[in-house]
Amino acid sequence: MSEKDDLYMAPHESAINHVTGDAAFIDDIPLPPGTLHGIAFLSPAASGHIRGFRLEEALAVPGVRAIVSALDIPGHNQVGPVVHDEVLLAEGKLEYHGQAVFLLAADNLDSAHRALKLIDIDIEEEKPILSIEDAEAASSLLQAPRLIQSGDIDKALADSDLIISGSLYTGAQEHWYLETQAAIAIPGEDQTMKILSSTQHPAETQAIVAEILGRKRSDISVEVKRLGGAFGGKETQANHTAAWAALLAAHTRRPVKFRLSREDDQRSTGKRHPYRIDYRAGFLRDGKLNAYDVVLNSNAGHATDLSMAIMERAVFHATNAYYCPNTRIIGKAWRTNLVSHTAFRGFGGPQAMAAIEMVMDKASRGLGIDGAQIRSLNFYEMEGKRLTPYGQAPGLNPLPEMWEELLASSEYKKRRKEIRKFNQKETFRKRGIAISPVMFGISFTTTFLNQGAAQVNIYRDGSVLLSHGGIEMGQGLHSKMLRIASEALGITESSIRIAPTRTDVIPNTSATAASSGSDLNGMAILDAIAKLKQRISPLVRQVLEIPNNEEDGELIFADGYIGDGTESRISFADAVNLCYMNRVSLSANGFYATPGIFYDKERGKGSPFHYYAYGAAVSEIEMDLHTGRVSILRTDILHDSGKSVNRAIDKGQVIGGFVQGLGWICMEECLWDSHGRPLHHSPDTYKIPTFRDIPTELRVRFTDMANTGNLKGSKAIGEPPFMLAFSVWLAIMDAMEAASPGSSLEIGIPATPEKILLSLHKS
Amino acid sequence: MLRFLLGNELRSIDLSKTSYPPWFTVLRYLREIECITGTKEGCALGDCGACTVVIGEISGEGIVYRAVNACLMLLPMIHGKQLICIEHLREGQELHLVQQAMVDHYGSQCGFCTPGMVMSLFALYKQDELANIGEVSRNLAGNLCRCTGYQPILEAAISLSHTCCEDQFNRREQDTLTHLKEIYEETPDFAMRIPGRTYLRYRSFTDVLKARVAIPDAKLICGGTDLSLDITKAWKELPALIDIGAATLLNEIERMPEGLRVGAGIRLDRLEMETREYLPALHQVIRTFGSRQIRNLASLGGNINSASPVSDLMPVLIAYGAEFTLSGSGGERTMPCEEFVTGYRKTCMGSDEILRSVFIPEPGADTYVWSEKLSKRLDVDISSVSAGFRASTDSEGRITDIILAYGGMAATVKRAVNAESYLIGKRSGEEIGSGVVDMLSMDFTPIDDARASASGRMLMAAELLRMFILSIS
Repeated sequence: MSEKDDLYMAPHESAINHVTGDAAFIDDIPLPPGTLHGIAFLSPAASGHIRGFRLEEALAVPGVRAIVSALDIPGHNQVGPVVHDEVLLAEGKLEYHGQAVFLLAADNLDSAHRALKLIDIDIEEEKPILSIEDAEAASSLLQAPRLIQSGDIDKALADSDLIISGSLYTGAQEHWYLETQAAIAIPGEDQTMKILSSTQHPAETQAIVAEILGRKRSDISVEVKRLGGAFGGKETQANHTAAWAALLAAHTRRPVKFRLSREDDQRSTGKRHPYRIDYRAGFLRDGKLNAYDVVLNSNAGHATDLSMAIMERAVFHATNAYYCPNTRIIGKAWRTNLVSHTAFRGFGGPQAMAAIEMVMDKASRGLGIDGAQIRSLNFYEMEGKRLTPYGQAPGLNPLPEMWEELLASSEYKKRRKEIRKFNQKETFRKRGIAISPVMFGISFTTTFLNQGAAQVNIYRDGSVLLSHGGIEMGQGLHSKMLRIASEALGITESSIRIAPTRTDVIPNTSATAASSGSDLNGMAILDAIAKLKQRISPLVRQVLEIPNNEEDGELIFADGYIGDGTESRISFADAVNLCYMNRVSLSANGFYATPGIFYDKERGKGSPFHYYAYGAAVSEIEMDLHTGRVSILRTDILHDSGKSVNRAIDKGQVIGGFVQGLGWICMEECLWDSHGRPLHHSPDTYKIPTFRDIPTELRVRFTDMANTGNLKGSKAIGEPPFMLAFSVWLAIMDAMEAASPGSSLEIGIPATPEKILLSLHKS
Repeated sequence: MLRFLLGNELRSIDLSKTSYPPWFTVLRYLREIECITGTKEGCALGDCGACTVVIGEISGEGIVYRAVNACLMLLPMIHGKQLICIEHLREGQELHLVQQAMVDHYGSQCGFCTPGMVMSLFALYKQDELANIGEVSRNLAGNLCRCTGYQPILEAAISLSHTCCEDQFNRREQDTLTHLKEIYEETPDFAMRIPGRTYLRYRSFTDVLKARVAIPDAKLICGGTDLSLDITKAWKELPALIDIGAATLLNEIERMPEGLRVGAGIRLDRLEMETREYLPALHQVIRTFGSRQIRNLASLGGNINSASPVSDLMPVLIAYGAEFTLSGSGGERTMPCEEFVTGYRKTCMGSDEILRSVFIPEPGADTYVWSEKLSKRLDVDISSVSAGFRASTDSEGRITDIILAYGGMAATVKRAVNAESYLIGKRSGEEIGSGVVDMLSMDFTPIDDARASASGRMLMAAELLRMFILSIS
C-alpha cells in the first residue's frame, strides 16, 4: 500500500520552481540600476592590533566607489544579538581570523577583488586563545556557568556500583547551506532602507541594521523570499552581511549587493560549537543510571552570540531520554579567538546528548548489559522515573513502545548474532550495530521567543495572500502553512499565495528556529482565519437565511463554499465580495503565544518545553580496519512527528537531518592551525556527505500519535532527527570493540577514517 | 568568432569586443550576460555541482551529453558545442521527465542545488546511465545537497531508469547536428590574439605547438579544472591561454600489444572506460577522481602537469612504469614518468614543450599493480594518502621487484625506496612486521594539514602497504 493513499503528502510548494530554475534566491534578483557590489576585507590574524593601514591604492582602482571602516559607522558598531560584545567591523583590535575590518564597494566584483588585494594592513599579532584548554588557562569564561542539579550527586556517586568517567570531544560543524550569505540593501526616501536578506531572523536583521545606521527600526524593512538552506547558520550570521550591505548603501547612497564567496562564508561565519564534555556517571548493578555529574564546556569563539542559549539547551538535554535522580549539570562557555560559534540544528543538544550516549555505551560494556537494554531501562515513566533534572514532567512517553517496535522491525537481535559470526570470520573487516534514542524538547528555551504572528488578506475575487513570520529555508514551512490555511478557509491551495516574509507586514517576529516554525506560525494563521470567519459568517447567514442557533454550530468552509452543510451555500469568492460590498474588513492579524511554559534560570527549574519529540534509530556499519573507512549498511528510523501536517515533508526532514548528523559524526572536520587560521575554509578541505555516504538501505517510519495541544496534533520535526545519527557513531564503536575486544576503544566526533585508524592502533 | 548553441539558439560572439575577457566562466556568462539565473553558484570551486550544465557534442552520428561544472569551464571551451542549462529542459509548461521525477519524489527542499542536480540527472538519463544505483550514486557525487539526505533524489533517479530516453532533444537532434557540423566546418578553431586577451584553441596539434613556441608565457589549459581556480578563487587574470582541449592528436587513445598510448588531452571519463579491464589499478583511481563533472572536463595531461604532491594519478602511473612523451620546438623526447616532476608543483617540461602522450605498459603476468586512495570522504575528495604499488614475484611467491609510490607523504609524489629494498625477497601474502614501518619512517616525514595529521599519514602509509602485501597472491 502506498503511504500516499491515506496521508497528506503534497510536494514542496515551490517544487516546480525549484526544478525549473525559476525559484529565485537573492543572487538571482535583478538589480536596480547603479547597484554596487560589496566585499569584505577579512582579518588575516586571529588576535592582535591594527597598527596602521593604507587604502589609497585600493581606492584608486577604477570602479571602486568606497571603502569603509568602523569609523564610518553612523550608529553603534554592534551586531551582538543578545549581549553587545560583537563589533560589525574591527576597531583596532582583531579577535578572530576572518573578522571583517573594511568593506569595499565597486561597480563589479572584478574591480572589488582587484582592489581588495591592494589593501595594506599592518598588524601586531598576539598569541591567540584557540582551544577550550587555552581558555581555561586564561580564565576566559563568557558568563557565569549554567547549572542544573537534582538529588544528592556526591552521595549517589559514592553509592553507585559502577562509575564511568571521561572526556568527550565533539567538533565544530560548518553549516554548508548551498546558498551563501547574501543581502541587497536599497536606500529609499528620508532615512528608509529596504533590505533583501537571506536571514532566518528578519526582525533581528532589521534591528541590527537600524542600530548600525543609527536609525529607527521603522525606517528599515527586511524582506525574505526563501533561503537556500540555513540550518541555524542564518539565524544571527545573516545579520553581518545585511549590515555590511546597509552600511555601504548608506555611505554611497546606492543599492549594494553582498553575496559571500564560499570561502569568505566559511571563513567569517560561525559554526556548531566544539565541546569538551567531562563526565562522571554512577550506575547501579541492574543498569539504572543513578548519578550524572557533568561539565559541558563549549568553545564559543570571540563573542557571545547565541552561545549561552545554546549552552542552556545543552544543559537541558544532558541526559537525553534518560531519567537520572541525582544530577549536577554545569555548562561553561569559553571565549576564544575563533569565529563566534552559533546556532546549528540541535542547538547544543547533539553535543550534550552525545556524552550521555557514550556513557550508556561504556556502562553497557562495564555491566555486560546490551546497549539496547541498558538504554530502555532508563527511559522516563509516568510514575517514579518521572521528572527531568530541571523538574519538567515529560508525561506519556512513547519511547518504550517505539523502542520495542524498532528493535523488532529492524531485527536488531538477529542481526547482532549475525554480526558476531561475521566478526569471528573476518580479520580485516568488522561490523557493528547500535540503537540510540532522541528526546528533544520543543520550544525556544528563552520563553518570550515563543510567539508567532500572521496576516491573512482576502481579495474580492476570493484569492488569499498569506503572510506569516516564518522563513522558508527549504524545510517546507510554507507548504505546511498553505495546507493549514487552505483547510481552515475551505479553499484550494492554489487560491492562496504565500507572501515573502516582511518586517513591515509582520513585526517583531522570532527567528524561524528551534524547530518551532510550523507550531508558532501555524497557530497564528489559524487565529487570523478564525477572526475572518467570524466576520464573514454573519453576512453569509444573512444571505442564505441560516439562523444563528448555537446547537447548529459554526458555518462550514469547505470545497470553496461556505454554508451550513446542506445545499444552502455560497461560493467563497461571492461571500468575500459580499463582505467587501458591506464594508467588512477582509484582512486580519493572528497571534499565538505558546501556553504553559516557564523556566527559572536562577533555580534551574521549570517546564521550558511545550512538549518533547521522540525518535530512535538502529544503524549497522562495516569498518575496514586497514583504512578506517566506514560504510553504513542499513539504518532503520522510527520517528515521532505526531499527526503530520505533511508526511512527505516530515520524511524529508528526518532523512535530511539524519544525513547532516552523520556528516558531523563521520567526516566533517573543522581544524585551525596554531595561529588560529581555519584549514577548513573551502569545500576542497571540508567535506559534507554526498550520495555514497548515506546508508545503503535506509528505512524511515513514523508513529502516528496525535500531539494534543499543538497544531493539528503535529510535532516539530526540524532538529530532532539530526541526533538519530548517534546510532552510526555507536555502531562504529561497536565495530571497534569487535576489532579490539575488551580494550574499550573510544572515539570522539567526528570519527573520521583517520581518527578511527589512529584509535584502533592505540591499543 | 565564438560560436555555440545555447539550448537551440545559435550564438556568435566576437570576444574581442565584449566587456568580459576570454577567461570568463560559462557560469558568469549565463548569469551576467544572458541573465538566466537558474544555474547557481554554490562554491565556484567545482566541489558542489550547483552550477552543473550539460554540454552536447558531436560523437559519431549522434550527440553525446556530458554534465560539467559551469564555474570551471571557460566560455571559449564551448566553441562548436551545445550548452544546455536548466532553463532549456521544460517544453512550454511541460516539465522534462527528469524534472517531473524530482517533483514526484520530493527531490528538492531549499531548491538551491536542484537545478544542478536536475542537470546531472538529465545527462545520466540522456546517456542511459541510470540502471545501476551504485553507479548513479557515484556519478552524482559531485552534486552536494545539504537538505534532502539524497535518498529522495536517488528514488527519482531509479524511477527514470526504466523510461525511454525520448525527449525534445532527440526530436531536435538532426537540427542540432546540422548546426554543430556547420560550426565545425566553417570555424574549426577559436583563435584570438589581443594583448591581455589571447585565447587560442586549435584542432591541429602543429598549430598548438607553434602557439606554444610563439607565446611561451601563455598558460596551457585543457579542461580547466585546476587552472580555473586561479580565476574563481584567486581572481587572477589569464592574459594568454592556449587551449589544447580541441587538438585531435592529443585526444587519441591507441591500444598496442605492449600497452596503452593515451593522448594527454584525453578526458578522465573516457580513460575510465578505456582502462576498465585493461589497466584495473588505474581504472580504480579514476573512479573516485573528482566528480563526474570534473572527470568530464579534466584531462590526463592536466593532472600530470599540475605536479601536485597529492596527485591521484601519478602514484599509479609510476607503478605501471608509464612513460611521457613531450613535443617541443626541438622535436620529441620520451622519459620515465618519475623524472617528469622535479619539485613541489614543478616539472621538467620546457616553456616550448607540450606533454603529448602517456604510454602505460601492460604489466606482465608475474607483476601485480595495485592502487588505493585514502580520504575523509570516498568521493570528490583530495587524498590524504594515495598509493600506486607494483610487485613481481617469483614462483615461490618471493618479491623480486617492487615499486611503492605514495602521494600525500612528501612535497612530491615519492617512492618509499627504503621500504622497497627491505621487501625484496620477502614473501607475499603474509602479514608484514614492524620492520617495514620503520623503513617507511625513514622514507617519509609527512606534514599535518587539513586532510590528515603527520601521524595519521604514517599509519595510513603502513596500512596501505599491509593491504598491498596481503593482496598479492
